[in-house]
Formats: sequence, structure tokens, C-alpha cells
Amino acid sequence: MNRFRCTCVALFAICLPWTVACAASPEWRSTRLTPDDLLEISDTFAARLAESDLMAQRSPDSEPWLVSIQKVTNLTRDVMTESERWLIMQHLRASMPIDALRRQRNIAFVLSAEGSALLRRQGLEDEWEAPALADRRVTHTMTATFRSVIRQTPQGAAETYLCEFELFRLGDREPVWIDAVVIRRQASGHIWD
Amino acid sequence: MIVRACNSLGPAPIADFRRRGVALLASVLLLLLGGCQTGMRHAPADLMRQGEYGKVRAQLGRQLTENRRDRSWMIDRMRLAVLAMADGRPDQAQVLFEEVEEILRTQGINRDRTVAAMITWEGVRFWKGEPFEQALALFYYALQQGSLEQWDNVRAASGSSLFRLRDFGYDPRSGRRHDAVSIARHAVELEQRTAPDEDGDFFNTGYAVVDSNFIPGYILHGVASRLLNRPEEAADYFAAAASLDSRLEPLLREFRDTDYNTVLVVSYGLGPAKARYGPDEAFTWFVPRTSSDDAPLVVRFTAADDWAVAMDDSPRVQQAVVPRVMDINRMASDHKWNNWEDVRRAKSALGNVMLTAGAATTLIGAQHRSNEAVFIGLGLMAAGIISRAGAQADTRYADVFPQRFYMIPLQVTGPLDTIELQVDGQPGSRMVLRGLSPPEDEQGVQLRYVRLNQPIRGQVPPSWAVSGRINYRNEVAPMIPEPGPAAGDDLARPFVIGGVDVRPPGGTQLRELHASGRLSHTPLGTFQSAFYEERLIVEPSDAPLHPAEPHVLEGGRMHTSPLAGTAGFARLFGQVHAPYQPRSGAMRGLMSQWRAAEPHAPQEHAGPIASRDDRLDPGSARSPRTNSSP
Repeated sequence: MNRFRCTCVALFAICLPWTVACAASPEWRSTRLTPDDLLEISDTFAARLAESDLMAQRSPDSEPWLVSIQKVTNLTRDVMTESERWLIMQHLRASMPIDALRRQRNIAFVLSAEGSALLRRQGLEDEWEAPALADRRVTHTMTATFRSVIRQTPQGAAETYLCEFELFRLGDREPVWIDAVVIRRQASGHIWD
Repeated sequence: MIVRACNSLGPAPIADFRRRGVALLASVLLLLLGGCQTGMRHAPADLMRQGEYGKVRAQLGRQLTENRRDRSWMIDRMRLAVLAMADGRPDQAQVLFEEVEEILRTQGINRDRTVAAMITWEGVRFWKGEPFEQALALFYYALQQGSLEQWDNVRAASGSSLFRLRDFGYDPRSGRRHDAVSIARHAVELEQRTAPDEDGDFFNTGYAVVDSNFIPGYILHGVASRLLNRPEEAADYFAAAASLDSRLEPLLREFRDTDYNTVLVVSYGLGPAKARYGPDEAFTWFVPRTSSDDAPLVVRFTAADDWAVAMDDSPRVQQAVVPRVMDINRMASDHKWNNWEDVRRAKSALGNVMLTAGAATTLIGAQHRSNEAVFIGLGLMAAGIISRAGAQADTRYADVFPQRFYMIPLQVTGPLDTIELQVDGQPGSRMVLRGLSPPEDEQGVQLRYVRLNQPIRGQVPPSWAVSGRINYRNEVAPMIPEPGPAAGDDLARPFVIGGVDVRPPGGTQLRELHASGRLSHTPLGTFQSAFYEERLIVEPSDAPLHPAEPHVLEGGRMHTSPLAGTAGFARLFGQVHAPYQPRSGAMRGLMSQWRAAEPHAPQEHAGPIASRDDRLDPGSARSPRTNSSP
């Protein structure tokens, strides 16, 4: 019995550190925007644009608009791949009632040639509008700019993102619609640890 | 318990002898166990010094683990990504950098794991690298994005490399800046003086947070800000770099005020190696592999304004002497850039105490014929030895970083420009770059990363580094052949069937072949499928999925070219490679067709072949620009 107890003590002495290691399960945190965040931003802007005064003022008889969608300009600390930046905009377009907007507001949205080419290379063809709009000239451009500021402390970091979408006329670059959302992300722990 | 165990008696002399023998044998085994640790797989330094990044990448690629809990997961990706950049392959580095950034942007991965790390470091504590390695990795990500002309991402990645640092200041006893030993001593002393309910952790309370002094990050951020039409932000970053090193002011003025279409980031030497020292080898420091000095970079630029100027042999020559912008040896030896993993572990380790107590108990137990005491003693020894093994510092590090960086703005005029680079006083570092075109967008700026060689024996650079030739037809730069026998239509003959053309197979190439009466009965689909059956990688968008795959000229499957104006491009096309041996039936069939159509006996390509008339290669496209993730 004594020998058994002593063996248990010895084993415990050896195994204790591994017990501690298992208890300290990893909990990773980052202030980086996630893919879900990006899609949520797209959804938000699609809904806001559809409900905006700009859209309310337009009718089937309004002057036709063809809006060329540009990729996101990234002024955050997050590196965003070319695909990510185009997918945000493509998702924005996909979230809008494209057919209803064309019929009821006489407004159509297309990805710019650069974006269409990139998505085509990746097997994500822009198949909706191209044939129907081939003979129409672009009248407006939609851009998006993501910015961020970060506040770092010894205990962690807080990053605030400002995502701004802008629709402007091509001729005089006069903005006709601007909207923005703010997203905050916090992370605890040292960045170097 | 130990005292009680010592008082118990054993039965017989023979058992007593056996007990002593077992105790002795077990002690020896345990001591041997303490010496066993997993070593690091180093990237071969000799090959790196010679610029043979293709071979090193292939070797690292074979070791690449997919197990995220493996401590090598991160370090292997960081190393492979850095070497892909040295090889002029930002496309192959894309996914690697995305994975590295994801980890580096995650905070507190290793928080509260010091105790666990004390015992076993394999698979418990996640390797993120020292802060200086993290900053360098993010800087390389910025270089990768710059090579793809994604300047907003350059701004993001270089900004991330400028994270704030911990400065423990000066040791009040010596008056010198704190080092690992003095910080450990302070940490222990503070802990002993502090009441249990107070925060006595020197690592959490003994430092000031200071701004980064990583100059290359500031400069690259400044360049990116300027190109994004943010001049005030650019000025701030250039000013920050100037405040850290006033010698750089003339260079920074050029970056801020002059016109340029190319930024060259040049590196030289091997960064410092991580080594153990101190009691139980518990501490680490970084030992230089390439010595530090202030030698500038000499840049000789021969511009060819246009094709006509080049043909008239009337180039413009400019020479510049550029100061070093960062010395990684000095960076690594500054405690601000260390994470103190070794010091924390050394402070926590109780190995010697447990080992001594265990040995004494075992011996006493054996002498008093106490089995229980022997078992307890062995247990304590085992724990002590394992702890002591854990106290020995982990010396894994990213061994592929260079020792220094230079940065230069250039106005490139055409692919016949010649850019000669050499670290002053190091003739072995000389490199001649050709084939670099200006950016497609006239207002654009491109970035190229050039890693110079550091030959071990003598000061003679490898012949490919200074040849200035482009011996193979490719999709990014025109061929610049040496004078030799005219090859005529052989210029479009694919390398894989005995020619010099390594362009991805396409309609342009096949039309050229058809026009010269070659492979005239082969349709495009058959032509391209021969490459697929040969399992060659011909789509630029597939490159990120094969981060370590060597080029077909070097025995690999990659059939797209590295960026012109890089060491990888110079190595690949500046020398003559062994002929390719087709493996698939389809490719052998293509080769047979070619030979059958030849009017005379087949003659295999054994070197660069072309006439001077072919030096202006109209079939070459410009650099592929992809930044796509699969």
C-alpha cells in the first residue's frame, strides 16, 4: 500500500505540469475583420441603399443610371486580398434586388471590367447583367473605403473600423449617396505573445 | 513522508543489492533522458549564401507540417515565404503570408502558458517568434504585396510591422541597458520583495511602452502613403525614419519628393543565429552570422530610354551610394525586440532543486533498504530532470532573414536597363539585373525585392549573378541572348521538348510554331494537355497552392516565371540548365513530332541560342499580376 501511494506521488510529480498545460486551453483573439464581418457590411449597405432617399426619388421614368462598382480601397491595418475586396462588392450587388431596381428605379449595377475579369479567372462569372447592359454607358461609380484606428495597451488592443460607401456621378464626381458603418473589435493579450 | 520512508527496513542483503542496482540504473537513464530534446531543422546556410533559394525551398517544402499545434508550423511557413520572396515568387508566397499574418495578428496566444512551457516545449507553446522576427515577417508581407502593386496592403502590412515595444530601460547597477540576465535578476528580486496580493511580475510592470524603431517599416509605409495620395501621412513616416537615423535624410528626401517608378528593397547576409548561454543554458542571445558594418550599397544603373537608344549603344549611366537602413544584428540584440520567453522560463524552472532532493532521497532510501524512498526519490528526479530539460532555452528561430536592408528609388525605362548592385567592399555580393520593365500603369510604382549573395569561399559571385543575360524565352521579360549560331524558329520550341521557351503554353506560342511549320498538326488543346499530363503547373493562379515547387528549369514542375528584377529571375535565366527529360507519353509524343519534322538530324539545345535579330522579343508579355487566393 505504501509503495502504491509513493508511486502515485511520484507519478503526480511528473504529470502535474502536463495537467496545467492541458488546463490552459488556447483562446485566440484578433482585432482583424472576419469574413463574416465583411459579408455583414455588404448586407448592411445593400439594405441601406435600397431604402435610401436616393432610391425613393427615382422611378421607372428616371434617367437611366449604370453604376460601375469598384473594389474596396483598404486603409486599415488588415491585409485584404484582391479577391476579398472584390467579393465584398460582388456580395453587395448580390444582396440588392437587382431586377426590382432596374424595373422600378431604372438603375443597374455592374462590376468594373477589372473585377469581372478577376472573378471570371476564379470561376465566379458576373453572369447577370453583362449581355443586357453591353450597349449602355457607365454613368456612376460606386467605391468603398475601409479605414481603421487602433488603440493598444499593455493588456490588449481596440480597433475601430470605418467602412464608407460612396456613389458618385462620373462627369463631375459629385457624390449622390454616402453612407458609413462603424465596427469595433477588441482583443486581449500582448500582440507579441 | 520521506522521513517515515527512511525509517522502514528492507528484508535481505540480495534484495538490498538489487535495489541499489535498480536505483543507480534508473538514475543514469533519467539523466540521459534529460539530454534528449528535439532539434531544429535549419535551412542550409551555404545554399542561401549562394542564392540557391530554389533548392532550399524544395527542402523546406518537404518538411512543411500541416499540424497547427506543431511548433514548426509557423516557423516553416515564415521561412518558406521569405525564401519565395528572395526567389522572386510573391505568387507562391501568398497563402503562406496569409497564414503567418493570421497568427501574428492574434494576440495573447501564449498567455499564461509559461508554466506549461517549462516542462515541455514541443507542441505546448505556440511559436510566434521574437518581436523582431514578427516585425520582419510583416515587413516581408508588405514586400510581397508591393511586388503585386497592392499599395494599400503594403500600407497595412508595414503599419502592422510597427507595433509598439516594451523597453525595460537601464540596469541601475551597471548603468547599461538591461540584458536577459539583469532582467531575470530584477524579476526575481521584485517577486521576493512583493506581497502576495500585489503584482510582482516585473515583466508586466517594469517596462515602458515605446514606439518601434523599425526603420524599413516606416519608409515603406511612407512610400505607400505617398502613392495612396496621402502626402501628409507619408511625410510623418519619413520624418519618423529620419529621426531614428539622420544619415538617411537624403535618401528619404528622394523617396518623398522625386519621381520614381520602382522601389528596390535589397538585403544582404544572414541574420543572427539564436544560441543558448548561462546556467543550464537557460538564456538565449542572437549571435551574428554576417558581421555588422556600415558599408553602403553601390548602385550602378544603365538606363535604356527606349529600344532605339539601346540599339545605338548610348545608355545613360548613373551611380549612387545608398546607406544601410537596418541592421538586423543590432535589432536582435536590443532587448526591446525580445519576448523574454527564455527569461520567464529560467525564472520558473526549479530543476536543480528537485534534482538534488530526488538524488538524496534515492540514495538514502537505498542505504536504508527502503523501496518507498527509492520510488519517491526517482519520481522527484524524473520531475526535476524534465523540468531542467524544459529550462534549457528553445533556440528555434527564423534562420532565413538577412542581416541588413537597403532601399532605393529608381526610374526604370525598359527591360534593357541594367541594374548593378554590390555591397561596398564585398565583390561576391555583386548582382546584375536585366529584364525589368516599367509598371504597366505609367503613374504606377512597382516594388522588387533583391537578395544579394554572400559567397563563403572567396569573393567571387556566382556566374549567373553577374551574367546579365536572359537565356530562356519567358512571359515576363525579353530574351537577351549572347552572340551565337542563329536558331531561327527554335526560339519558340518549348524547353520541355528540347528548346529554350519556358512560357506557359498558349495560343501565341503555338501560332509561332505553326507559322514556322512546326507542330502544324497539333491543335491548342493537344498542345496544352501535354503540359497538364506532364503535371506541369502552367496557370499563374495555381502558384499559391504550390509554395515550394521549383521551376521546371531546376527540375521542378513550376512553368510560370518569377518576377524580373529579382535574384530568383537572375539565377533561373542567367545560366544554362540541363535539358529536360519528358516523363509522360503525351510530352514524349510532342517531342517525337518535333523531331520528325526536322529537316536534318535532331540537335538538342545545349545553351543559349539566338541571333542578335532575336534580342527584341515581341512575344514576351509583361509581369503577371495576381493577388488571388484560391
